[in-house]
Amino acid sequence: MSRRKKHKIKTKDSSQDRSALNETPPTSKKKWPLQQVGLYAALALAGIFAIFKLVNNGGGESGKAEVSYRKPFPAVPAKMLDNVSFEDFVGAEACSSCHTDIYNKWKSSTHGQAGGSPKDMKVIGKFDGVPRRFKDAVLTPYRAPNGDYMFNLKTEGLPEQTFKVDGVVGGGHMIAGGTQTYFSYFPDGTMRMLPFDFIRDEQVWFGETSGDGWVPITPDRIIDKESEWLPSRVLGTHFEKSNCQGCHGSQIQLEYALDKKIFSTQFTTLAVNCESCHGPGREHLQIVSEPDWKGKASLGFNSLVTLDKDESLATCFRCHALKNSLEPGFLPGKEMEEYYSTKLTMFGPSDENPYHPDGRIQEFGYQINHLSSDCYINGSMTCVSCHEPHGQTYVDVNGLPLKDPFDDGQCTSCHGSKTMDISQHTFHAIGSEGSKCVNCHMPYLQQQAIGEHLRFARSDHTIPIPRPAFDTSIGIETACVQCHSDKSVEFLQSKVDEWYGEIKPHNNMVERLLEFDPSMSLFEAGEVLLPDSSNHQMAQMAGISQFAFNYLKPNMNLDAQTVDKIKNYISNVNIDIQSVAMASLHMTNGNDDQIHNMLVDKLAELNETERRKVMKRWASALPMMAKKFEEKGNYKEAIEVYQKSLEVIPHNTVVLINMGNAYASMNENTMAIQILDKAIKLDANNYDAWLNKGNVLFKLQRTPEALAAYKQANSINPWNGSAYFNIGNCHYRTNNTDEAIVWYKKAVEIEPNLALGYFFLARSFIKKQDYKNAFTAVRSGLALDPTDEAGNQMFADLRTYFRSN
Amino acid sequence: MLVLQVRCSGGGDKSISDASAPIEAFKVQISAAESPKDYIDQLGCLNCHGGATSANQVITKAPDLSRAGYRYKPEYIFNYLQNPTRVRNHIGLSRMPNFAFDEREALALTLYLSSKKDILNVKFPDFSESGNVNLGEREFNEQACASCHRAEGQGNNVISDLSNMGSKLNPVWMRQFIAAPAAFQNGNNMMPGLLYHFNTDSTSLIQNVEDADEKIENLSAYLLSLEAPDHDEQLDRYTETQKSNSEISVEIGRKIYQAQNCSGCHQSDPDGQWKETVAPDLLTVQSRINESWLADYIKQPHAIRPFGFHPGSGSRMPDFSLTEAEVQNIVRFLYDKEIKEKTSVEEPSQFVKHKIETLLDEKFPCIGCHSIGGKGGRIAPDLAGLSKRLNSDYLTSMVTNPSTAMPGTIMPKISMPQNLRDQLIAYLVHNNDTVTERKYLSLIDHPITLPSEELTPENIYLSKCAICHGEKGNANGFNAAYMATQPTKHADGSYMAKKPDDTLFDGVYAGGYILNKSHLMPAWGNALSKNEIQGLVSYMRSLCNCSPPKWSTDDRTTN
Repeated sequence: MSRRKKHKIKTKDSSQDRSALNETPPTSKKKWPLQQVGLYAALALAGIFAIFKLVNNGGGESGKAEVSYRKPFPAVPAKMLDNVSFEDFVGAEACSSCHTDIYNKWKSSTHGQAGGSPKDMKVIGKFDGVPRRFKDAVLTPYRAPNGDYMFNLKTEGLPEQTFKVDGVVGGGHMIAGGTQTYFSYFPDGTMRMLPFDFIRDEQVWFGETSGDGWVPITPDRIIDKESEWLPSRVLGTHFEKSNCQGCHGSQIQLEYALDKKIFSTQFTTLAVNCESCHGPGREHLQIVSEPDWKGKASLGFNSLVTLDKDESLATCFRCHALKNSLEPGFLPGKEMEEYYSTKLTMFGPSDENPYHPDGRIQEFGYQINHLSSDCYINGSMTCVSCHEPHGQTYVDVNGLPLKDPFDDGQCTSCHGSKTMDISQHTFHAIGSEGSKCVNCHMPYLQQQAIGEHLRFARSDHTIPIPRPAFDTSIGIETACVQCHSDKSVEFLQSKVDEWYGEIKPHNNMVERLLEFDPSMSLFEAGEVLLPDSSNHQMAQMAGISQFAFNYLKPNMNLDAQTVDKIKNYISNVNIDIQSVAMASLHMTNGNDDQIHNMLVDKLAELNETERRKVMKRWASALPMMAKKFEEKGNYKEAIEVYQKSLEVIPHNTVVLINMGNAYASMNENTMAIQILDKAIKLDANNYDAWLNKGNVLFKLQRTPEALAAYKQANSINPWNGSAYFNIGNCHYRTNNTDEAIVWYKKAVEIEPNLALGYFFLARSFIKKQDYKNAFTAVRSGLALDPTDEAGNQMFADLRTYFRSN
Repeated sequence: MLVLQVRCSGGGDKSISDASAPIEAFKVQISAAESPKDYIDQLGCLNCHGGATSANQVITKAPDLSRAGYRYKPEYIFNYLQNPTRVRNHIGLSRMPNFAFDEREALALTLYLSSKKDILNVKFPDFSESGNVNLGEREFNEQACASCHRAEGQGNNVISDLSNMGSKLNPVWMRQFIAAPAAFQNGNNMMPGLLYHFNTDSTSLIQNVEDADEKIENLSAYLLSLEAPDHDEQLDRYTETQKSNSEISVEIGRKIYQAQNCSGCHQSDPDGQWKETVAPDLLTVQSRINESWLADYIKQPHAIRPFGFHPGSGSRMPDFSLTEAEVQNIVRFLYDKEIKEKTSVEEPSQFVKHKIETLLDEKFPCIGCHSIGGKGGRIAPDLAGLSKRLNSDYLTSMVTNPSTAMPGTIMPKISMPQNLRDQLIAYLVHNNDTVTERKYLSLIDHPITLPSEELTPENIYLSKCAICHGEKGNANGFNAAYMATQPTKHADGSYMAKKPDDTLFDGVYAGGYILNKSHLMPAWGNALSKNEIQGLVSYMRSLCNCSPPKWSTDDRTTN
């Protein structure tokens, strides 16, 4: 499960606009993520709109001899029909009668036991009725009389809550940290993760905190500081942490029915089933039900054992990889590259790169960092080189079974050379822990995002050589320490030097990343970060990302030499690298007709599928850069970059909303409204567009118009507290206090930890001189946010009032 | 065995029989087959095929070629190699088979054989070339010659017809041979020495009859006057071929001679001998090869391993032009008991077939050596023909554990999961496609490698690596031309200097695939010992004349 919280391109946090209400200082609040659903609908239409754009651009005005002729961007090719739908999946039981052996292997595997209903799963959490105390809340996991697994939560100042466990995720199988998590259905039709997890080895309930990782529930913890509280992880969301919500289960589909105003959550199982890897099985069942199936060329599946190295890896990277969403709707059987990019996760400033320069994961262990291993770069290693995919047991490179994850056969079936004289290689006694390949080359590393409170370590799939001094310098516990925790780094390094002398250097591209220093000039950085070629695509992506985020600005007109360096990457074999190179040049030199035309020509060279994939990535990479300008307050530059993204894929509501908000941040409110209206025109049911438009109007004191916009948002999605709160604000401002109270109440009902909601509710009651209700409300608000200045002031005033009366 | 007693007793007073020395009665053994085993023995099958010791009869019947250049005219050798016909009638079933040599191959062999001109260490009289043809003809017909030989339609063709001697034999050799056949026959005393007496212990001749020299001169003059009708044509063709193939050397011919195991039947110089395995074990054939296939095959042999049973040798199964009856007898001998196949392999689905084809194309190393559908290496048999050729038990055990199924095979055991192996076997057993390519590869255009079986690193390299990587590591082994990926050039110092020894080891041990290189390079870890692989690594280092990267060497410092 991912606990990754890195930057993603999304619309402005639109939970509430406080700017017009100076009574309270702004506080940071989590938001419910659901407003993202549906944002991407416009992307699919973009191709159609782009045709009009071409005409408008005058691109077709042939015959007119123009001095500078800018070729129009091609339209995004319409997506091939991939007819996979939820109904095409048949579930693992359907496979069991023919593929009995494989089914049985799978059923008891970690994939087969990855999740399910509480009835089917072995529940490892202690639902023992014993209260677990937070500072401000008490959590009691218990069994209901009918056997249901339940949580009871009493939070100070808030109504008591109970949650029934409807889904169990995780079997607690994993070595070095097995956990189990529980999901519950919510009234909006979603299934959400309850942020009370259980860990097998320590046998405690824990939760994720912001900043301190995973921490057992103790009386010094404030529940509202739990980063997953309120429950916000919705099963099936694709744009964030999709490896959790999209992968802990099979064929999970989350849809929002506009007419019924309700979400529907569909999945085949919460385990990871046959079709997660093999694709939909319905056609297969149909074909093999015919008597002559043996003569049929197609059985409705492709054999996965025939996949080449990268295709095979991609099957596993559907889940075992960090990835950025490009478009919703992925299902096994569809092409992942259309929906997700794995390397765009690295496109950002170096301090946000989820990987260390040598490819080791910074936060949470996804095995895609195997792409940084020498076994991948100079070898043919895939996941199934060691992992038997059906039983998740271990095999050697020839597919022959091995004993366990520590079996040397995983390595020595290729590296026979190392078995010539084992102790000459290991310098540890044969048979000892130090003589096992994986103990030194794939050590279990505590995942940095988890923190230090609970052991949750995953084996390092970059398969590095232990380098005590270097490892320590980048903040990684070197393998030797796993046994020799009493020894200093200097000692360990001296042993490595003594035993091995000069050791294998890092990959050249990794050395370049290590050499890079942001104080370098643009020229120096280009020399270091953008070599002509490299066999290490992960590091190459890191290189161009660091170059882009440290040096590039819109329309800066890079010198010819640097342009050439980036241009070289446009032909990179990796589509992500190719795309960000195009995006970078487009951003810096796109106003130069020659460069612009070169980029357009390059797109034209690609076949339709490649072009579509490149354009999606390109149009996503630009807003990622824009976001960084925005974060630094450089709204003008951000807008220029958003504009460029719209040149590539014109009718993208996500980008339009971000751009509208950037205008609003610059106080160019008319432009902001104009842009947000464009988004609304493209997608009249876009919650964020209406909400953000409301925010701008509210700021402009055009309260009735703001109210109308908020109401529109609210009618689209009545499950989001933001609109309620902002509608309340409109009524409050127009002195329609009774009405304001109604909406604030709804806001906190939907979003019970919305402290601001309670404070504004209190303020409304004060306005009505209903001090009793005001006092209750302000106490609830302070329970959630004890530091709120305005809240504390109201509390003090009200207490004084009650004391004096 | 039929023994024909020939009493050489001429009539006339000037006849040879007047000579003071007694005329020897000699036996001509007309070999006839009495048991199926006789077919094997007389055809000399076991001279090439292992599996039993041969009563090597053929060596006494085939001409001694250790002085072929002294004996034959090159154009005769050249033509005969391409169109071998029966010459000797007294050698029973033995015959010179057809090796399907093309002109260039025949030329190479001819050059080699013609280089064998060593003169016998025997003091022969100085014959003059001025013999009388007519007198010679009379001698031939009146004397014992015609009892056994025929010329121009006269005489008994018991031994051979001499009507083409003028285009076949070197005159010097012929006169010396008539004078003292025993000097040339290595104890296989067939032709009597009628004119001179030759004592094998001595190097000199004792005249038996008067005017022996003159008779020899006349006889040879007559015989030399007998030319094959197409002799001029043959000579032209030979000269022409030689002129347009000046690159073909005696050495190439020698290798072909060795590779085809010519010395298995012919007395040869030591430099023409190669003692290693040149053909499959014959006596186990019934447990490996389907009977009906074998009957068809020996009747009309074609290339199974297009460049030699021992990879890279270029050895061929020659065509003996067997009659139907001969085929039946041979098969009866080879299949002496009924073999019941244990394996019953269900026909795989189309899907599995397609899957295996993809794996053969992209993952398995098989088509590095084997071909299928015209694609792939030419070291080993075409996979399409296997099911017709091989017993499915044998096929299964060959795929499962080659060295057990066929001791001495070059084929390494390829490790794979059992389910894939089963599917591969099912695919092969049920592949009934016809092999389209049945020709042997040119022995001129492909380098012949003839390692000895002694297990030195060099020999292991020559027998297992050189067929693709080239004898000197230049990626020019004969099979390189048939692979989609060019083999690594082990002689390329700048490339090899980047590769640690361990990487070279691992590539040999676990195959090209694990190094992200070609899957056609198989893993040798099941076939070679680790020490042998280490020996190969050192040998590759000697080919590239380079050192591995410094960090990879054992140069650790203690400071």
